Amino acid sequence: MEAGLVRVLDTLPGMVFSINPGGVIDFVNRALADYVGIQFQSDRDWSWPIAIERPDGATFHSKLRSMLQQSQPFQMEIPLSLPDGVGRSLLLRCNPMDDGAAERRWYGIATESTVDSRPRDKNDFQRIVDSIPVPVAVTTPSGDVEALNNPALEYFGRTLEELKDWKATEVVHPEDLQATIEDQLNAHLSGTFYNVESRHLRHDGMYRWHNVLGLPLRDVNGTILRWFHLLVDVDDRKRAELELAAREREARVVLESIPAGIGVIGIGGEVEAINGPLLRYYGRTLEELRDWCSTDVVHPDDMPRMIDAVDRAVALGQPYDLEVRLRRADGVHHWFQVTGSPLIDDEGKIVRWYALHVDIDDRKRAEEALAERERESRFIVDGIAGMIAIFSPDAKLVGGNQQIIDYFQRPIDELDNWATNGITHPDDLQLCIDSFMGSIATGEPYDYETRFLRHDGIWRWFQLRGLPLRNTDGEIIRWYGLLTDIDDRKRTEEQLRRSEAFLADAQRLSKTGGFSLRLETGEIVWSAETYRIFDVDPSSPVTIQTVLSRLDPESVLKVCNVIETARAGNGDFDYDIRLIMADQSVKHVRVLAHSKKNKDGEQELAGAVQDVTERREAEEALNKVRSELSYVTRITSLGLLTASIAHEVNQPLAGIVTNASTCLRVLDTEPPNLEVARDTARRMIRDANRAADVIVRLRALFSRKPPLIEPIDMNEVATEVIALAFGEIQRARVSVVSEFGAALPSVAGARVQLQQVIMNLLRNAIEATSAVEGRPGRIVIRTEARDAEVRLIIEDTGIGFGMDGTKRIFDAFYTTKPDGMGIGLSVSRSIIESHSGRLWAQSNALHGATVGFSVPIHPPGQAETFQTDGSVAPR
Amino acid sequence: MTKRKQISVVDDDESVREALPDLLRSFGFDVHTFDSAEAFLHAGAFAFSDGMILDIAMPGMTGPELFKELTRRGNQVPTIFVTALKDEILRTRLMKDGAVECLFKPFGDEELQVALAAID
Repeated sequence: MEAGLVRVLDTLPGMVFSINPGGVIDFVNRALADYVGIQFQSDRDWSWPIAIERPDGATFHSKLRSMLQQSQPFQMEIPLSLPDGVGRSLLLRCNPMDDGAAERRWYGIATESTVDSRPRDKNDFQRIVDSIPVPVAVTTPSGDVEALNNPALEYFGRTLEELKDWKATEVVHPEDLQATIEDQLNAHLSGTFYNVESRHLRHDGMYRWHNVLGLPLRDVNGTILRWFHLLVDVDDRKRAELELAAREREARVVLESIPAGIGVIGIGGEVEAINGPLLRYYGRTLEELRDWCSTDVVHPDDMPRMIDAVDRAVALGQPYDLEVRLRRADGVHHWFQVTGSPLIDDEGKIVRWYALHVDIDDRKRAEEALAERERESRFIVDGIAGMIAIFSPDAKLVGGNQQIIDYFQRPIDELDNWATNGITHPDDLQLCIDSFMGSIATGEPYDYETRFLRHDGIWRWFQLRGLPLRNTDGEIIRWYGLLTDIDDRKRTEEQLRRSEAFLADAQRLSKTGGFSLRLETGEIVWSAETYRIFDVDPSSPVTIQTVLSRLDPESVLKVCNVIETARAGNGDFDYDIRLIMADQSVKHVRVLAHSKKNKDGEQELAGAVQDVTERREAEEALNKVRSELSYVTRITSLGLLTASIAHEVNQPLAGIVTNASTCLRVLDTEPPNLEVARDTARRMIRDANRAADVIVRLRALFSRKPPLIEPIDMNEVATEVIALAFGEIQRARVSVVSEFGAALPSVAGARVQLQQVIMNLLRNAIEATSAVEGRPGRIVIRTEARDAEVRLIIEDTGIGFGMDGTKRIFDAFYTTKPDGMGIGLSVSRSIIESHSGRLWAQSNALHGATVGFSVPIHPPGQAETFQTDGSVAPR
Repeated sequence: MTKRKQISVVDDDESVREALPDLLRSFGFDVHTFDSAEAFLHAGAFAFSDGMILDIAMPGMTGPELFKELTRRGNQVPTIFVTALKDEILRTRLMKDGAVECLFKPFGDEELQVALAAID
């Protein structure tokens, strides 16, 4: 404190002191020091000699400190313990003086509560005030200016007389005048210290802010005698303050107008202000919220984070940003995003903190709902027995369920490269790209099938179906793709398709078609090959009429009979029909069918039709070849037969010639022996007939007449053959024994063909037997009826078939004979088979072989079913 | 009068056995017929036969076998073979073996007469 001021204060006829906000007394004037008996020394603490034993004594310091925390003028009594032992009190009146310094300073005046013994000297006042270096005005208790010190007169640049009328001369700024007058009036009425700030007009016409400190001077009775008014120039500070206040006002307006909550926090973390919206949200006052840490405005779960964030911000200068739930006035918690930012002054120091509170409850709840939905979705998608792929509108894979990751065992971002990373089957890739990108471009759902590489290197078929998810504006925001494993189905399909193809191929190749006929409804189903065989357009429906229209009259009757029979009950059918095609060509078709109830309980005729035209034609061709072949066989055996013919014919011819010679001789004798001549003539006739018989038989053997199928007596044919072979039998010197069965039924056959077969077998037996020397040759020809067929068996004692004979003897050109062609047996066999019979051969246990054949018996009255092409239709 | 020469006919064919004896008798021979080689041997006809007309192919013992058998026994009878099978090879062999002639059926009475002349 300036020495001059100290002097002034020491000189003042009152007890004056100054004190800092912490309660430390840093100045005591002489009057006060004298009064309490404690001298003030600037380098030593000075304290009140408090009478602690008195009621106010113990609490004085705490009371004082709390008053000092405020910025309002105050007064309080202090009980003193003085050396004279008399209990006295001083009334302390304190005013804060804010001169712009960092620390506020209080000035106080102490007055004796009980006694005022200070001297009153008007001249002294004048002298004192003049020496005060700041403008001082002295007024009467009524407020009239009584005196001004020199600094005051200099400041204003006016005379005392002019300044006495200050209320009318604008020496006090008009805006401050009313307040100044009221404050002074109040102070004068109450007699208390006053402290106002007002602008005063300097001599140069400038208003400057002053802190006006008004101090009343009282007499011993407490009556106010004078007022001293100290004008401390605070203009610089005030202007700064005002500027700041203006800014703050502006800021406050802004803050209040912000529809968000704003909290202003001092650098120490204390709440300085809270804007209206936030206060209204909390439904509390600023005062209630100063200690927000111990309130429930922040959700208990979030409070620790909030406190921590604010603490860190204040301590470390770190901005903060967190989301907490704040309690609304009605007790409902809303989510807020609280962002704390420091306000930094020009020097880079933090001045205060602004905390922005934005209600994000809707967003938060939406997020939570979304998260919940996504959790649910994830749960659902992961629970789907298929793979889910989620694509962005630009076809990027952005997600997938667990199954898809499990299948490929690759991360999603790798699967996004499905077109290039080899997980899509190369053969399907183009389809995939076309289908998928096509849908992405058009927004149409996609559905296609492809193979994907499983993590273990197996390709499996999938069906891919995708749907776009659109927002309310109709824009696609997601594609959801479902990948269903259809590998098993696909393979089954493939197998089915293949087997159907096989079946179709098989039907086509075998010229066999399938059909079914529901006898109750007449509904007919044909396979593709059946359509082909009947030469019907596969797209047209098939009726019984369709079938019948293709048949020749005989086949129509046959089919109608079959249908009637099938309608009556279960049965098997095997019949041939003839189709007359559009070009009048004829198709031979064999039908195998079966009638029974189907699974629906309806009587159904189902079976197969086989186009046997080619076979039939082939059979006819074969028959032709066979008859030609048998003719060739006969021709080739002609050489052998020539001998036979010569023998058979020459024998009777020899007889005729001999008889004729004899006849002539006996007729030439005298007398002619007519009796012998007659005998010889008779014998000639007999022999000539015998020769004629031989010729007739031979002619039949060599004729190429188409064979006639007729009922045949096997014994008769065998007898004829034995007769024909008589010469050979004689020459081979074998005995032929016939053991013919009695009353054999007729067989159906071509006489000449059967003769040829028997002749073949017999001749073979003769040759095989005659080749053996050392045992008598014996051939047994046996016939018998058995099982609706007639057998003829030739047993010989010949050389047999050799090592691998029975297996090969029916092969054409296999022969055991040195001069044979090997054609005989195979031709025989084909003849017998064309008779629906069979031919067999076996080696005998002891010597030789047994060869036999069987031919079905001739059913009476059915000769008309025989065909004229040499084969016999089996019935 | 000289005794008429005895000719035996051995043939399984009945028409031959009926026709030949009348012709041979017209030539002036006495004739005996046999339907098989075995019957000829059984009758011991070689003893009284001055000649023999022998069929080649017969069931049982054939003509050439009978001829061989008689040769073996030393009971050779001048033999004229007759056969319905025209087989020159067989004929040549039989002639070489000592047959008087081998005639193929049917043969004329002059051929037979020429052959019989060799027996005389």
